[in-house]
Amino acid sequence: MKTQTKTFAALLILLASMAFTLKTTGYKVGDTATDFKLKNVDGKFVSLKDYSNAKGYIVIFTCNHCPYAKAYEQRIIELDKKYSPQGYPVVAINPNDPVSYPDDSYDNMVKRSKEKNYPFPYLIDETQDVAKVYGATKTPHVYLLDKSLKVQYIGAIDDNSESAKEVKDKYLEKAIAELLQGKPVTISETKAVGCGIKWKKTN
Amino acid sequence: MNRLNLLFLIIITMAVYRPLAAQNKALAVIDFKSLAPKLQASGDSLKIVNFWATWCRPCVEELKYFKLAADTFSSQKVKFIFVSLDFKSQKEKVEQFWAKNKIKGSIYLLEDDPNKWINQIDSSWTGEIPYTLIIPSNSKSSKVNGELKNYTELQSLINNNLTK
Repeated sequence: MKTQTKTFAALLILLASMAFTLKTTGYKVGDTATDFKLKNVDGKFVSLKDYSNAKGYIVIFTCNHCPYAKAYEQRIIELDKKYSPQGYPVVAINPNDPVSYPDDSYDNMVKRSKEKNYPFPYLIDETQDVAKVYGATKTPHVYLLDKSLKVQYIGAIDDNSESAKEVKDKYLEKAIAELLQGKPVTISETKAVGCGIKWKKTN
Repeated sequence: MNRLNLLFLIIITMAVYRPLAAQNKALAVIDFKSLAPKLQASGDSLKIVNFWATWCRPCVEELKYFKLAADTFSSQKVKFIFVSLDFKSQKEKVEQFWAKNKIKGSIYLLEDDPNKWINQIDSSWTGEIPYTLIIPSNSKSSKVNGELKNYTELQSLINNNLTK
């Protein structure tokens, strides 16, 4: 091989390897998400593939302690009641470290889901690997997936965390409606404030 | 006590009360349109803008570093701006917290749709707090996404960004 070709080849390999390291961790819209197998509050393990009739999935990273998660709790329950029959179930995942945030322990998850009669699975991400792979940074943080697990929407549930009554823009519901109509999602990413995910302290 | 001493006592009380009362003043609740100009680089001062909330434990923990910095750098050209992202229904709680902690600097409660303002500050910020903006007077802004580990980290950031 000519020296010039070798140089270019080496440069291409270097650039390709840099592309992988420079990539921000977590999913972008259009990426295909991974499935998982996480423990639910009823002791059983849940994966997305368990939903044989789903048209898609509303994956929401949420928890017990965060005021934003609490403010959205009822809205998340209502989302499941409205969209699960239409093929888009809510799958809630708590990624927080229960050592530093005991309110987010498995036992407290069980307690809360019973108190509020959660109609959706409330899964514990014990190793926090699912949150890391998805790129979730806060609670609540939504990932709307289609049937093939392609990420169609990331971000906020709506435009007003504090008050459901004052909501003007239901970002997530608009995206689901578009998918149900077989249309592309027009606003596929939105921002919201939330509590940072409580990562475990590594040694 | 005699009348003169009473008079002195009244004067002393008034002198002390007025500054204390000023710290309990009402918190300004503003939208992003009103906040944005305050995030512009100042002609001569370094601006440190901290986004926090009373319910955010790491935010409250690092506020003690900001309090110390605001005191330590009070004679230098550094402006501290604190933006609370508490719910507006928690305004009084924020006011009480602020009055109790006596941190020098401007304090606002931002009430606006984050989807409209987060990207205007930093498109890579996904909305988790704490978050701190460092806005030097004549060079590029930078940020700290997450909590400061200790006071030294904040002190270094300020020293490195003050105009020489």
